Amino acid sequence: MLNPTKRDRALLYAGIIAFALFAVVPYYWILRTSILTNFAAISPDTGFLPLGELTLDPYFAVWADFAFPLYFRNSIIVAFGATLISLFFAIPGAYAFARLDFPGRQALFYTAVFTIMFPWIVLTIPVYEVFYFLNLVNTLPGIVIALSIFVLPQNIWLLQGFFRQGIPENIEEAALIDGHNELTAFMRIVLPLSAPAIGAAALFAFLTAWNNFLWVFVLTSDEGVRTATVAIHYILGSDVLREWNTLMASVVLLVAPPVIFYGLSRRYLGEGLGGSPGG
Amino acid sequence: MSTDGRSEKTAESTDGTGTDRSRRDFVKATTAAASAGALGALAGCTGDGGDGGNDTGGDTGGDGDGNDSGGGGGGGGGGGSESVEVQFLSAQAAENSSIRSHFQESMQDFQEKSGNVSVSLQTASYGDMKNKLASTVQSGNPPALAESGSAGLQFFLNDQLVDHTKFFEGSDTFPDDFTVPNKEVANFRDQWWSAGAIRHTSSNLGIRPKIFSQVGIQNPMEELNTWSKFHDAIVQIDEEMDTIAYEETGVAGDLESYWGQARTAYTGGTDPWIRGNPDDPDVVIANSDMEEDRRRTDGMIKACIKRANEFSSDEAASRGDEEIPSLMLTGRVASFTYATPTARRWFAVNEDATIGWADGEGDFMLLPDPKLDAEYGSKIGVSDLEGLEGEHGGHVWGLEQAHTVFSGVSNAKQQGAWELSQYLFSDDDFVLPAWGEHYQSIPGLATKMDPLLNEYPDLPQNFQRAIENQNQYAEQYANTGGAWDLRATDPIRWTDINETISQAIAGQHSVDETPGLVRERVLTRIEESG
Amino acid sequence: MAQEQGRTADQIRERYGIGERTLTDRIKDNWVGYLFIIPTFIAFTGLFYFPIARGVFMTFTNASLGVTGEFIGLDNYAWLLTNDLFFYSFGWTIVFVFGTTFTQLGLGVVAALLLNELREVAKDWVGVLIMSPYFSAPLAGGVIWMWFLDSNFGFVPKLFGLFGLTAPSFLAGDFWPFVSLIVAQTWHDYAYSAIIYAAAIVSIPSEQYEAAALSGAGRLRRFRDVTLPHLLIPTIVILSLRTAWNIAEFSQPFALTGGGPGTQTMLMSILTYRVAFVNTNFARAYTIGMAMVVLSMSAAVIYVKAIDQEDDLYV
Repeated sequence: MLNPTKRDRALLYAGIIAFALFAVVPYYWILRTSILTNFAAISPDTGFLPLGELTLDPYFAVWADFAFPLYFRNSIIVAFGATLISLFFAIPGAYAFARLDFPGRQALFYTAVFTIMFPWIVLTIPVYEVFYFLNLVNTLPGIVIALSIFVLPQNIWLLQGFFRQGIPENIEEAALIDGHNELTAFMRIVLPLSAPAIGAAALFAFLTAWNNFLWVFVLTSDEGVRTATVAIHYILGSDVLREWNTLMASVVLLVAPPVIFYGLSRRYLGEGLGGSPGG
Repeated sequence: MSTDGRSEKTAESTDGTGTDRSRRDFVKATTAAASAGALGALAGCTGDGGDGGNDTGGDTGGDGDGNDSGGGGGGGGGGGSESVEVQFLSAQAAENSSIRSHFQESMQDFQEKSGNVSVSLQTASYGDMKNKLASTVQSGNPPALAESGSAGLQFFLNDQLVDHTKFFEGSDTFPDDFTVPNKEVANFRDQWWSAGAIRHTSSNLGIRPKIFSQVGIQNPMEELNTWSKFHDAIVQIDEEMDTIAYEETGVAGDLESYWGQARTAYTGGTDPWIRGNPDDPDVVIANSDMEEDRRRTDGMIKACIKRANEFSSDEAASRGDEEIPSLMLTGRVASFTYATPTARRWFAVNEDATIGWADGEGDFMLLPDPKLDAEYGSKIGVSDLEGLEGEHGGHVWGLEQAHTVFSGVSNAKQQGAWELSQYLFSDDDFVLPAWGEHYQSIPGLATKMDPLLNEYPDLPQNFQRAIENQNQYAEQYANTGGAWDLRATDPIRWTDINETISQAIAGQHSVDETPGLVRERVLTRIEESG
Repeated sequence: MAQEQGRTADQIRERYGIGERTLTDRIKDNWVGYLFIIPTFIAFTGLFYFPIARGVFMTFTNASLGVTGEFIGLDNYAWLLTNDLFFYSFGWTIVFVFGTTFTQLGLGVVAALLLNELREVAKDWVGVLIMSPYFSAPLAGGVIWMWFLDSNFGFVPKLFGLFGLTAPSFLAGDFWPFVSLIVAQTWHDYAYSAIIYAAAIVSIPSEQYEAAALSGAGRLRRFRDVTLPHLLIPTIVILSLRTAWNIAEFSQPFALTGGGPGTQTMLMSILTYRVAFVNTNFARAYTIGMAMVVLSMSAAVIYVKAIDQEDDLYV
């Protein structure tokens, strides 16, 4: 019989492997499809690991037949723009909610939380009206603004939790006594301490903006400002559905950047991701 | 709760000098102002960032302002030397990458030919067209020209389209050169509400010769020309082979296959669903006052569901036609009734695919929908159909491709949009490659068929056959819904008829109660929409 | 630190000798807070509050494609209450939301506990693998699962075939599509709760475990007495947020089944979309949307109630 520690270890690894398979095997299947010729991808004779028949043509097809370089450029602009702007507003906003006791604070906070939970599919047309009124329809700045506002409540919520709990108040107090003014205290002491939380907020903002379908879809019809996520939707609705390998190659291209981005940043973000104090 | 009096109070109460306080307030205020200012700056910078070609500027109405050329419209030149950019929202241009680049090049070509009209081409897939139009038109920002499809009728009824009659009056080709279905598509209660469909696609019977030849079929045009003969063949395939003998494309959005089947219960192109005065129409479905026609219409609804249950895969109720080429070319599906003239779809799956009978070795072949014969009713187990006959080569559609000019843009743009639509219908540089090569289908003007055949003499079998069907059944080839002249044509077709049948294929209600349910839903719809 | 957070307003006032403060005092001292959040709330008004008000107003009109709409009172709500498909989708939405929320929660906590046992470097890389579904676009998630489960081309049926079995049709019939949707949604989002739980577990002071171990508590005991209490707050947060988000979920189920076969898996979000953009009846679509809002807001209220009672829940 195994000793308890060994048995525990075995159970642990079995559990981890089960999770990893559940998470990764669906990805594997689209990856496999994306590196086969279209006919091999649908043929019943192609095996699970068709090493002999691989091709990168679907990726070239995606690149050549659709304006994917343009879509990805747009996605990158939109995701970075929305991340920066939402952080710019979320940090002072969260700080105010966490540390400043102004009347109405709670009510305002609840309305912000309320927007996090709202089912947006219900409101596409009124939102379009607002953006048309502001002359922002079919423009990249319009998408950037829409997405930064869209991720704002969640970022405020994430950061204020951190400011409230993760940063001991007396650190600021001490800094103020040490001759810092409020701004330098915030910049020199609070912000560096909040780096993991801000990093996490940035990651979430980036992912939300990159993955967002609904708003970009509603607010654009020009191909020039289309993002990769919406482009995939249009590919799904078009004749290309007959070219599974091309479709799956575009899905891989869409999914890979945020996953890789997360993989690279996870180490540095540490536990800031949970919106809770680090270590 | 107010447990939060912590903030910076402490520091203040310990040293609390007035000057210090105001300095800190100043810092706070500047930071906040900076963030407020950034939002303003952001909004400001969008002015030059926006290149949507939208010349309404800061105007919010978007209601016939801008560069009015003054002239009241009418056909002919107009426009003068003033250049104008029209927004054109197309679904066709999003269908595949080769038609997409053809559209893009053609917009340049049109621009050069017209001199003063440039085009901002926007695209949305057919499934998203209504969504795009809903938000743009609803907020007063319509495109000048759009492939509105049947949704355009709603806009027409609300005076959001120009009256196309004024354009038609100034034109030699419209509507005289229209195809038969286009005459119905573009006309609503004697008004020309749209410029018509720039192309037609038809849905017909599609088979896999490689499979059918194995059950002894040698001359498919003869041996599969009635539903009974077709039935016998698929029964045999079903029993002898490991393949789906017949796959219904049963997702509500792709049940045009049924529309074609339904018509084969009649001869002479009689409408199976709704007839008569549009103000008080006769709904044939489940109508006990019209017993014989009710049997034809209800019978085909039931036959469609039964055939799907008996021969199709479990997924039939959610099967889209897009998946069929992959399934048929890998031998998993033997037949379906959503075969279109577009050969490109098949070559996209396998560029070596053989289209046509090819001595029983072909991969895919297009045939007319089978004729209804007297025995089919008892074969499929639908007593309504027993003893009835009819024929009709399939279903042709055009309503989905109807192009419309919107009235919410300046007169110059309306004129430009009309010129653009004429270009899309009649300029050989656009029409012939578009429908002969990039997306094989039947041009919207009947007069374009011969030039197309001259330009492309070697057409794939499915396109050839679709054209022959068109010739054979031309006068009967009505577009489903086009002739009804109802306000609610669109939801009746897609929701009340198709979705209800799709539900039945999914097993959500029984075969026999389906026609009654369809009728109930159609009547409610007509009542509500007036 | 924990003690710091435990202070009440009264304790703070007592400690620093601040008396009862008036409203004007609070405004005077903290007015800058308004400046910090005003830009945010102007933006919210444009994207959130005004459209919400418009949307609610539209449910009392007959707005549809091309029609601005006239006031028709409660007709749309009457229509809603007589519509079978609405009730069907309401029921299925509740099943879907419960099914996904609780499996997401359960898998999330297990994943977080397992990951916590790994050594640092392994934890990072395995963590990335296990959390990765959450970072894919939901729309892509739908495509991925549609392809994964497809009866003809999918992985799962092929795997069944390897063992000489025939897989059921996961996206057809009157049972499997429901399961498939719940499993796919769980796949996409369980990492959200795993991430939050992982953070909570890491932040538990190790002294508490050591103390428990010293007093002779076994592994299970330590989990129950030390770990579990720290998971209460994250659980409430996850439950309420995920409930609301699962109600609102549209992209992934839309790409996976689109409500089909027939209308078998019609979620309220998809029904709203269909009524708005297939039938182009916006007023009725938004009326269905109101039912979704009521459901989501119940989740929001539970959350707000919880943070109201417990300052720590502000997380």
